[in-house]
Amino acid sequence: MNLFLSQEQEEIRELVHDLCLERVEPRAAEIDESAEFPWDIKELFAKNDILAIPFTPEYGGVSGSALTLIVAVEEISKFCATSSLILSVQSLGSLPIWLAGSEEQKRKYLPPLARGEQLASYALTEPGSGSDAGGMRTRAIKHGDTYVLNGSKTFITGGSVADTIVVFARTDQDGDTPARNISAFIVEKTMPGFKVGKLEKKLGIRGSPTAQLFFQDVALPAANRIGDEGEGFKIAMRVLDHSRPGIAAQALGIAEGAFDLARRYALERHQFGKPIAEFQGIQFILADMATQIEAARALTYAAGDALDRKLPDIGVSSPLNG
Amino acid sequence: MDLSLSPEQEDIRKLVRDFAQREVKPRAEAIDHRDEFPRDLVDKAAELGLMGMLVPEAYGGAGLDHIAFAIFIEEVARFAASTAGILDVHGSVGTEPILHFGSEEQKRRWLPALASGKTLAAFALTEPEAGSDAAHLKTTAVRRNGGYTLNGTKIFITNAGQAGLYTLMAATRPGAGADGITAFLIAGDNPGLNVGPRFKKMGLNGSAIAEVHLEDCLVDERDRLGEEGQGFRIAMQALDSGRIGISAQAVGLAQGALDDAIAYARERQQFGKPIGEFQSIQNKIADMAVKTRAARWLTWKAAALCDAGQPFTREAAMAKLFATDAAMEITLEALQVFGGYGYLEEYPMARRVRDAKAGQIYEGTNQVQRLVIARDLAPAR
Repeated sequence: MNLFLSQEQEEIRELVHDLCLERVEPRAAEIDESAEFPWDIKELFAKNDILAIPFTPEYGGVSGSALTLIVAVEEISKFCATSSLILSVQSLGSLPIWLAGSEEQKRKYLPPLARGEQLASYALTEPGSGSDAGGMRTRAIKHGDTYVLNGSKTFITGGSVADTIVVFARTDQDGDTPARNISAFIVEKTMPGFKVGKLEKKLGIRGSPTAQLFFQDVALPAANRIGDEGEGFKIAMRVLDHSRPGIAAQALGIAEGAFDLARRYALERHQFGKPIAEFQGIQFILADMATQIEAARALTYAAGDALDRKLPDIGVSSPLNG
Repeated sequence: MDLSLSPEQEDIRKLVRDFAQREVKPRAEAIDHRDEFPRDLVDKAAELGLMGMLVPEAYGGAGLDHIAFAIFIEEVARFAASTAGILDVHGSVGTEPILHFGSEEQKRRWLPALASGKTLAAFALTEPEAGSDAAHLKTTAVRRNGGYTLNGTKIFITNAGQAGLYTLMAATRPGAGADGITAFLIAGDNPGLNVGPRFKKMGLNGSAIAEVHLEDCLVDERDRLGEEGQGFRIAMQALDSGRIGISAQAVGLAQGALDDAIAYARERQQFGKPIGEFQSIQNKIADMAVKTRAARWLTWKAAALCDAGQPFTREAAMAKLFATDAAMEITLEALQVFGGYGYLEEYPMARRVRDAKAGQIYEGTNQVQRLVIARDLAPAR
């Protein structure tokens, strides 16, 4: 058993950390205030190959390791969770292609995403279908070599800035069991009939656009279907197994960023003649925070390691459940 | 990173799981209800070579690492936390101080006996008036010709009366605090060492926990462990790695409770279906599983750092804090899944709750763990 990150992962952590400290941290408050997508940060990540981390070298990437991606997302999130989502969603939106796409689809779509020239997104949720993803109503009806897509999606992270969006839609005939006949499609933002609706005003991650998407008679070539007809639900769930550790990494980074500030303040702030870090009231808070963070990190990295080792029960991470 | 177990660790896991299933599980209830020290299980563990896991092969041990040790303790604790506690105290705080600070002569004298299980070990630091504040212990060790005379009382000593060796801390310079403490290796048959009656406890029945009285107890110079004044450091280092075992015991309690809760939730039918199909039970089981998993990873992380020779004080304290708090919560939740049956002594659920409470208290209360963590994170200047 080896519980330590590789030299390469440590180096990537340091690189991302230093870059974010210098360039992201000074922008974070502004991004939050303005609630605007930080194109400058996206460019920064593209230029420094951070957006290439989710991809293997054969598709223009630099890693493809789930654990390395976790480490990068964790570091960015220490400074700005909105910015971390640029990377997470690049991964999420490309995972369906990466996991289930044809070689042709991978060659066409992944390299521009790895270079950060394009952005990806993932559209599953609908107004009436959230946790119950199988109950979606967006529908793609096949006419010859083309599917005609109609419906809407909601809560789509990065939906308004993405070039390539993987959209899940029903391809069933009336009367089929819903989840059984869902398919995944690659939609390009330039396709006629695709429209971005309103952006949500949110409590947090405000610079990360959360969009409504509308599809009105969007004509999709059959070549844009990922996998077989009816495989969409399985693909969607498999993608979520792969992407959840990234969300865990985001939470982990947010917690660590908060903790670092709290710890520093507790050492600096004097009351009753000494730093407040010397009072047990504050010490207990710090200890509990640090312990929770350590536990969260252990679970998150274990999930990343399980993905990298391609363990079978990824959904609950690692076989070490006794 | 590669979190898979090594073939050696897998083998140990198989061996100890089999031992736990075959030997410990059928004895657990009787040990608890009769409050009976499980000498038979200690002997069986000894036959399997499990009493000297951390002891190098050169001294008759198995020469394994702390992850293997944690696996051993966890597997036993799934069925009987008190037996796990006996084995843990012996193999960890009872043995490791000699491994790290013993002279060659002391190692040759004690380690083979400890590793073979012929001699059971105990660790004696806590006193009636020196618990969390261990540096202010009152037991004295006064120099005399060729050795020391010890006087004082130790309390809450696991394996008291059963042990053939006590690693015991006493003040060679009373009033000097941590710097005045020295560690001694005292044989169980030393006439100056007397063990009080076993405490009646809330849980961990079967585990012998008692007072140890030292009345003009004569100890040879050669039985001093390390240098004079080094005792507090020896004790703290022992407790650092001891916390790995305590964490593993808590993980075993949690995992055992979770296993039983899952099995029961599948079996027990209400409203026409297994209760495991209701979200209120599913949520409990999911939360329990997440915390158990996290606790195990924290435990193994501390073990891995310890084995790699890196600092691990903070990680061990985090593992102990998290795992024992999780075990308390999980054993209570698992009992709740059993409903009224969980409250009956016929099932192991109530016993696990009683046993889990000790974990939050011994080898440093969880409040002390928080202080250890905080001081490491934000040291006073």
